[in-house]
Amino acid sequence: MKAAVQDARGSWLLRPGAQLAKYGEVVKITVMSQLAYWLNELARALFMLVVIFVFAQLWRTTYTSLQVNAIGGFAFPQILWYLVLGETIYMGLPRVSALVDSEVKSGQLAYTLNRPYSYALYHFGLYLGKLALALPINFCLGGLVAYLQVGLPPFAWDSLLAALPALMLGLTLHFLIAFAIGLLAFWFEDTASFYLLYSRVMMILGGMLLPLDLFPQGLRQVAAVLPISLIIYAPAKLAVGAGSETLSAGRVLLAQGVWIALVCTVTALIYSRGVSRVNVHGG
Amino acid sequence: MAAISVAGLRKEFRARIKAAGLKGSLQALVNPVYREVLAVNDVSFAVEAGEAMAFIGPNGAGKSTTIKMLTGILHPTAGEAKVLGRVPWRERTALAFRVGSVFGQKSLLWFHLPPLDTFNLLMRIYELDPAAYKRRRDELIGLFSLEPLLTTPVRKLSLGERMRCELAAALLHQPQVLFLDEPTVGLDIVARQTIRDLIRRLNREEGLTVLLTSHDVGDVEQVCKRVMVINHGQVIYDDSLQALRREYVHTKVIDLKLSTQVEEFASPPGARVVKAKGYGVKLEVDTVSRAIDAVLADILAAYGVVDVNITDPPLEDIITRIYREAAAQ
Repeated sequence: MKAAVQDARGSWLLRPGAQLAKYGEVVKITVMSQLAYWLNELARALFMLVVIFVFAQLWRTTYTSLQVNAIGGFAFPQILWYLVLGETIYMGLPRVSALVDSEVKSGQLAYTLNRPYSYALYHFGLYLGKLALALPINFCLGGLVAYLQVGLPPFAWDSLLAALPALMLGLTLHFLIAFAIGLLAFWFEDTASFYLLYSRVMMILGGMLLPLDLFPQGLRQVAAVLPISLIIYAPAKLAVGAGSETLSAGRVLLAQGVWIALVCTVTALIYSRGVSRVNVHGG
Repeated sequence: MAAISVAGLRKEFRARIKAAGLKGSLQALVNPVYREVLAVNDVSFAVEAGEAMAFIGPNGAGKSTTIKMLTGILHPTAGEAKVLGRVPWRERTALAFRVGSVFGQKSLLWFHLPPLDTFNLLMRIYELDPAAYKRRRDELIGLFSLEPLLTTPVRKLSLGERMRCELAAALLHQPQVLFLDEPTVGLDIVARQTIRDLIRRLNREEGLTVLLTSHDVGDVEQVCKRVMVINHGQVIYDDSLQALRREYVHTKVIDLKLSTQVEEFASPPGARVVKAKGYGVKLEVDTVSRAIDAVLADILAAYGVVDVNITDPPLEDIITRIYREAAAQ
């Protein structure tokens, strides 16, 4: 019996509970580690106060000078809470690609390969653990400013129910992209420039600075075919429930699922090719 | 039964070369040039279960590459290897449950948290039964005297304390084979001795198979009975530590304390003075050309001797000689 249990170790099929507990523990220990220097976390998140305050002033002026109630289907409170959500996500994203990049280059990756866990899932655990602290802190600070400016968030329960799975899938999609960028360190000296490009595109076409509904039609079409809009724009818009076009939660989740499958395949390919490069150059 | 068996293991890799200067950088960009590096060349050996073997060699000799192949991180270019009956690079995860590794310069512990938190994480990672884990953990806490360290964040531990925790962490899942890469690097004398004692104890009492690489001869002498020397990717010596001494020790060192001070010590045939100061004289005797008792008899006949001490030359000197001989070849 004992031998059978030992042989099943590491198998998702035979011991799914043990595998979930394994990566769950990685999430837990990451949260504990983040809590060890919670002041740094808080200090980093204080920027949210400034950002949301500046956005509030900018948009208040815009709405007042245009003398309109809605722009691109967003009323002033809706756009401010949309920006709170967008900034919460964007500023809370852990530095996955930088970490993977440094592990590949320093050779630390080789030392983690001989442990009985998946390198990608281990990093996903670290990612979720960091998000578990960063997202609530960011939301509370940004939300505080928004509440003082425009009152309570205009989230309906059904919108929130649709936004939460979209948020989870969006964050997963971002992880896979960032992880793949970090793995490019197998071939490139520095992957920071790739990530910088990606994060800037996410800032604009991902809907972090303003909802895509406010974009010209052409740019909106470009954004629609990219996976980036599914990370910030889609969950934030679903939660606020505003915009010139209604977003279908089902279609968002489906698109996220397809993109996750696609990026996951590409990332797995990059990983297996990369690890074979460790085989070539290691030692 | 062999815990580790290696036959004809070979590892080549390509390294990019670039001439110095801007021109070299541009050339490397347009037309990259590579050279083949033979890191491990036809290495064969076997380590019996419960054996402690030192795997030594100068920097760049191929030690780490061999260990990385044995832990499944690297695929060999040619050859075969089995660790606990499994081919490491094909069954890396399955093997990871049964082997442990400690790398002196890489930490397994979470830096900002107490060691206990990492231990609990490892319980999940190695899928240990919670009750069995607690028993093993408490056993290691007692053996390694970790009780006072358990709740202190790792960043606040001394290097010696940290290494004790690293070693305990690597043993929580009760591995049958332990790979140790420079486990005492940077430690003070007391901490180094503690780590050696613990490894020796685990090897002798738990039957743990140990493969140790170290540049510290003390680690080799005190932990292992067998030593394998590798240089330029090839095994140049593989036998017991005793045999190494027998084979390479052709000299003895005589430390004398004379009853009176002498101006100039006249060394007898077959011996040479290494150091002479006051009442003390240190001689090196070539035991091939002359027997030690004959040299000693000459000394006793010529001088009044208060104390005498005969020792082998340090192991470090022997290993240096092996490296030099290999380099000369």
